[in-house]
Amino acid sequence: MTSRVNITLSKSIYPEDIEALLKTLSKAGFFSQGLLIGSWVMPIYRELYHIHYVLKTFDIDFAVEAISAKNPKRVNLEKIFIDSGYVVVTDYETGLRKFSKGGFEVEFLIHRHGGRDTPTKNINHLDITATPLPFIDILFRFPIIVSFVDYETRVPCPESLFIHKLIVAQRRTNNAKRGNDFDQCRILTTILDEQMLRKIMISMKLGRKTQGNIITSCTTIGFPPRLLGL
Amino acid sequence: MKVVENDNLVRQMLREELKRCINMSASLVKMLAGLPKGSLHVRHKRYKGEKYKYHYLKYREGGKSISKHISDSDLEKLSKQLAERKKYMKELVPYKERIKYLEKILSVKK
Repeated sequence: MTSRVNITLSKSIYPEDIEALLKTLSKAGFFSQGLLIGSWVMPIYRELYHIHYVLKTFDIDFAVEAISAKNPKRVNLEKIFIDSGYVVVTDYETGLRKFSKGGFEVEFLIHRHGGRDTPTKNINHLDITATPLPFIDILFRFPIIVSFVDYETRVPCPESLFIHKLIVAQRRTNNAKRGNDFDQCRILTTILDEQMLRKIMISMKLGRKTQGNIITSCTTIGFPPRLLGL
Repeated sequence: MKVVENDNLVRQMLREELKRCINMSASLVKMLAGLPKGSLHVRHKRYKGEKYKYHYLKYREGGKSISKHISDSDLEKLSKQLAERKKYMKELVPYKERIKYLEKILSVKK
């Protein structure tokens, strides 16, 4: 289920290159099966919910929905990126195909079921490779469609991003990234909808270890786990 | 204490960004290695009253300037590869600049 939020802004909330990319992806219909995730969601939350978060990175992440349909909508993303002036860069460590323009790096992520298998997954109908990671599916629970003047994008709702961050923070080996997750969580606590939090938690089957991770993260940021039904 | 903690986190984030840039830069260099270098030139020649056009690729190798004849059938493919190389070279610039900057502020010894 997707909710729709219309925001009409006279000024752009993104740098020119990123806005152009979002417009192109929107026109190609990518957001019917993908989400904008990562730090670049924060400018949207800032406009919608007036949170204050300024950190932005040079990598732009998108999540791709794991589709089981026989005939998923085909979008030739590689061609779109090349036509938009991006270069295709194969990561020499993982074999992952990324896109880069002006120092901005675009990467795709997809939900991973179960344990580690391959470092990359081919998404043939989108002509890309994506990094499989656990818990990406949470981000697709009740996403928000944000309409701008001439394009639309889809982002996770703050509650699903919050729960996702609580879980992944405990799995990080990198302290800086974990600290960043907690910073984002702390900021998101001010705008969370309790009913939506419960709705998302009920919609998921979480193992005991994952529930434990959520509780540990909640304790770190001073958020009562009972609001998540834990 | 909080300031020290935050400072450490910022340093770690910058280190992470440096690692990402080095990784991306290495991948771009690897992509460049698979593409021909040099520039395309045309030579006009007259032979028995007829005008002929020869395309050749000019590049430097081991300090020497080399001109290599390019057949008409290879011309289009080579032009595309040279244009692609130019794009990759251009893309490498911001990463190299960022690496230099981050190494400086993180006082990374080479």
